[in-house]
Amino acid sequence: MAGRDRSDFAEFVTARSPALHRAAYLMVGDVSLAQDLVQEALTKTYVAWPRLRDKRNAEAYTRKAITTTAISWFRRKGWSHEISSDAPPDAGAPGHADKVAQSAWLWEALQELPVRQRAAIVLRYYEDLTEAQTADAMGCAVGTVKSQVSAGLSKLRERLGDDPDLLPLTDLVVNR
Amino acid sequence: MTERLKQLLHERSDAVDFAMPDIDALTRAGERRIRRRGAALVAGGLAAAAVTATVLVPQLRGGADPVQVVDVPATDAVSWAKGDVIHVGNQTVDVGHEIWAYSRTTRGYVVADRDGTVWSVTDSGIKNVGTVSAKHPRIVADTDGTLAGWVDPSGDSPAFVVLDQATGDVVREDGETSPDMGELADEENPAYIYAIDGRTAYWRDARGAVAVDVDSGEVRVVNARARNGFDIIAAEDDLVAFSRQRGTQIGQGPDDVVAMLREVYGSMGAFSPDARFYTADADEPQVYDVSTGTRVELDLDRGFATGYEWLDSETLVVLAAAEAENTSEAELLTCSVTTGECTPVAADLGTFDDMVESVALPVGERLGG
Repeated sequence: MAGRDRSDFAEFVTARSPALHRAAYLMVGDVSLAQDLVQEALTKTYVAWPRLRDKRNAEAYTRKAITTTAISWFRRKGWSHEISSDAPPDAGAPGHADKVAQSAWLWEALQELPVRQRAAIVLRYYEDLTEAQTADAMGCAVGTVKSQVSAGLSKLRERLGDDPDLLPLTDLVVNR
Repeated sequence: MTERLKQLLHERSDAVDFAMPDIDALTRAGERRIRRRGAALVAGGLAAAAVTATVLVPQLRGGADPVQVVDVPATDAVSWAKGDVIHVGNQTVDVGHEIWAYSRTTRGYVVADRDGTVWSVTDSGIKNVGTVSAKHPRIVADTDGTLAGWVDPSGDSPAFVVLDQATGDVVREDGETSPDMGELADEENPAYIYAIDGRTAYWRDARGAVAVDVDSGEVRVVNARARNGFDIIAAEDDLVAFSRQRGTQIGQGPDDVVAMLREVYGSMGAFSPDARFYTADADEPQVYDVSTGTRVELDLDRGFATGYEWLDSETLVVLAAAEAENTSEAELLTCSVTTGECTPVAADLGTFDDMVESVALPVGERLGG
């Protein structure tokens, strides 16, 4: 079929789905949900395939579909993560928590963030996207990315303490 | 200092193995979706064929070539229309039909004539592309995109129609409207098209205010409680201007507040193409920096002035007059929101009363309502 070349699409899925799954997992914090999310995003990509004149844009399109679909699902279905309400270790006391425990708390705190803040942080600090690329992936303005990242980091800091080795300081976030 | 966070994200994601997606299942799901979309949202070739047939009608009646070739100047310039002609700076485009209302995209103009016939005016020609209310035409478009849309009231139920001027494709959707729906913004339960942003059309139907991806047919309910045509004023780069009791709220959704423009109640408004600025209609220029919500001052001493469209990310077109009287001579100016300087660009439009009778501006509606 013209425009929707199955072999091109299959090649794209084979090459990029591991990376797409990893990013989706970080956004939703659940393996099966991440798989559903990637499947939905790849289906959208297949539908849009003829419009993606430059197939190098396919990954950006799918990443955007993952992000916006995740945001949409969380909003529509009112999903939230059930997180332990136990207090985190005292991050202000050096040496009190080892890195393993610290990672566990950071992961839980990350999953507790509103989905847009979590997505912005994943795109900026995992995918290493610029603010403009993040804005494109989230389908929002650059200013919104800045505010979402800032708000997300502030919440993580509230929960985990102001440890600069653990979290970037808002004013030191590199704006590219 | 971001290393620990980055390290955590990589450790967590690397620790999970994911099965390779079933590509056949994906393509089957995609094909099903394409077929379903075709049933619900008439797309591409089918609609284009219908449009072509419509265009041929004048020829069968012995008229001239139905597709008149024209040279359309760049549309990101100040324009106004009088009679059959769109004036774009020193150039003109003769549409061949009385221009009752019009909008612009990057590819050309979309015009409603006095009879409610909608014409697409591009370098490819002037083509009949549909029907809009003759009494209250409204055509919305993305000035930095290629889509334009309107409500077609001619069927049993009102239908939303979106034209892509880049391809000539038309999509039509009437699955969520009913014959009893109103057509004006302030009517109860109207079928109303709010705005177009990129490939997304915002309209109000039985589900409330919805955002429709014109390509995929995917629908997102933006506000199920949207009551009328004033709930959404404008949209750009996924930012939406919502009408609120306290003023105009800018955000991605009703619960998202990027900026709250308190006491700004303009029923029309426009974002700059990069969504950095927003102008609301008022008796004096009301321009706001979206990122801060602060007002941008323009150096303009007029008794009446209102911004209504953007030529680029910093140039606003303003309709103004020395006095706020219908008998005052109207003029068009361009204003830079970075310097505040304004420059007259057209001053032979007549009075406001004259304009209401005979002039159209690219706002998609008749002047004076």
